[in-house]
Amino acid sequence: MISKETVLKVANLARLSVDDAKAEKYSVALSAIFGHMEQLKSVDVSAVEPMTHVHGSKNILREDVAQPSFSAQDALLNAPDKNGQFFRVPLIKDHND
Amino acid sequence: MSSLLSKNIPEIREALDSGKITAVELAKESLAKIDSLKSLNAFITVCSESALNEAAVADQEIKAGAGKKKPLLGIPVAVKDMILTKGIKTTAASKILSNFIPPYDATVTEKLKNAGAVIVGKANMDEFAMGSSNETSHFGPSRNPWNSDCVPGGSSGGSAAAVAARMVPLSLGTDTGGSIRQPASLCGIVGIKPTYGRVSRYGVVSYASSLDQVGPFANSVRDAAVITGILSGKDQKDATSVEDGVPDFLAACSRGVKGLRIGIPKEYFIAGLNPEVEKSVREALATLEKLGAKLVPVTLPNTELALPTYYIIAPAEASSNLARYDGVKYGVRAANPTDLMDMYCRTRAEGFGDEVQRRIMIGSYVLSSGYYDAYYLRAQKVRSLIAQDFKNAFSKECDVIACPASPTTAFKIGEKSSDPLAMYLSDVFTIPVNLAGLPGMSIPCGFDSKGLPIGLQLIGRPFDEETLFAAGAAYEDATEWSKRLPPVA
Repeated sequence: MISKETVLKVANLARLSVDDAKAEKYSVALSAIFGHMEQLKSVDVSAVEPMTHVHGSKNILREDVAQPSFSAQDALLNAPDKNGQFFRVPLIKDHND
Repeated sequence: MSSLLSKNIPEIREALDSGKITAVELAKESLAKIDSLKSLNAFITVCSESALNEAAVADQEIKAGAGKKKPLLGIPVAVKDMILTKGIKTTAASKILSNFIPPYDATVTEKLKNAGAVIVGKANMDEFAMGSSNETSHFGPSRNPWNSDCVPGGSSGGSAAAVAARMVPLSLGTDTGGSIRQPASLCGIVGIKPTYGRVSRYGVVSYASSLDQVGPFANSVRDAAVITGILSGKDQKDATSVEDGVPDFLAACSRGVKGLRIGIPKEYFIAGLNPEVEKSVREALATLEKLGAKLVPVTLPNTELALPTYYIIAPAEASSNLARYDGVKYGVRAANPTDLMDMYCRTRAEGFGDEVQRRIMIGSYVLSSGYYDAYYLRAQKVRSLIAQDFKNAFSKECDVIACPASPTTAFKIGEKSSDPLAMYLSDVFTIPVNLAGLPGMSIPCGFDSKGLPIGLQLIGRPFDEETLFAAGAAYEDATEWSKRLPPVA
């Protein structure tokens, strides 16, 4: 069972605003989904390595050569708000204020 | 010439190169068809103007004989709206990206253009590819050309519907848990998910990076082979793309199946599998046997663990990938934020749909401190077991595995949309393939009593798409299923 409090905590981690009614809904829906995942707990994985990459991972090295990239103008084309060559965001203040 | 859109690449190539039709005429035909079948909602964006320009350029090149070198020169294609197209809106079917115009092309887009393709539009899909029915799209559901009350499958539903209704002969989709093979099955066309690493993911909106792969939809196995060859190959811009020569997939289509050992996994013929689907798939297996293949029973004992494993790993990766949608650099920002935190939280709550938020919540939960080992780490270990099942089968018993692509035929719009778990079950036969990183194909193998298509899934060893093409083409040559068109086509 995933409590409403847990839902609110996770929503904050995920940066999703969730009101009380929605948190209730998530509590029910996520509990049902995680109920289905309980099945994994009965599997003996003590001797199994986790799979992080299907073909195994290795470092890929290359020369550090400068390549053309986006101009500031292109990078700002889709910006919701900008100021000169910068993305503009609302006031950043301590959230606990 | 109105039927050219339902022909295969060689015939279209011949008609264009011999001047029977121009690329502009063909593009116009495709655009007219898209317009007349608007009710299927297969497209989010139709790019008439750029398509006609590209077609006019193609006509010049065709006159100069370039059709011999560029296999798709002048041929209209649709691209899933998950794949970036420079200067053409790319939304991932989400409100949060509904105004996004990419400043660059995905590598696969570039490859299509280099092969001469004319991009006519961006196909509808489930939002961020999260769904199995195309119903989570911010732009409304796409509909199945065989029955417009039914879903086309998902997440690449629009790409599948566009090819099935012959609006275009080819399209691109992406497949993270079945999002090419399941809609191909439900729409009665060919769909391929190449081996993980075969095709570059650069410029493709990320959902679950360890599972995502781009692949084609086509009306025939051979057309799918041609376009898979075009898309494949190492890309410096995607570190997971693999340095491996790209084989001649079209040549592989002529190999036949004599002596091929086809594994039949008993775990895929289970309760919940629609009896009509089972019957058609078993008949397809009998056909392959008649053509010279040997059917061998195999076991993939961890199959039932694939679904819960996927629904931990994919949302975990999604919650991380989708963190970038914060209203700062691109996309839609919530109005009148009081401060930065308020902007982040409301932008995301207002910009993402329900299913996407649900998966972000699942992912954030399984990655959060205290739950990581119990869920995420455990799921990665079970993923190893699932991959090992396939390795065991392929190392000793068989060369290719055959099974249903989807447990059912197309279901009604709205039938499963309120029950996430019922919806997740649509991908029960396709998900294990992504977890193991293998190539998979869905190919038409029959129709149910309601006239809805059924798909046979073929699963291969890593980087052995050739065997899929060999078996798929042999089956297609021996049957008529791929030639059936929905009435609207």
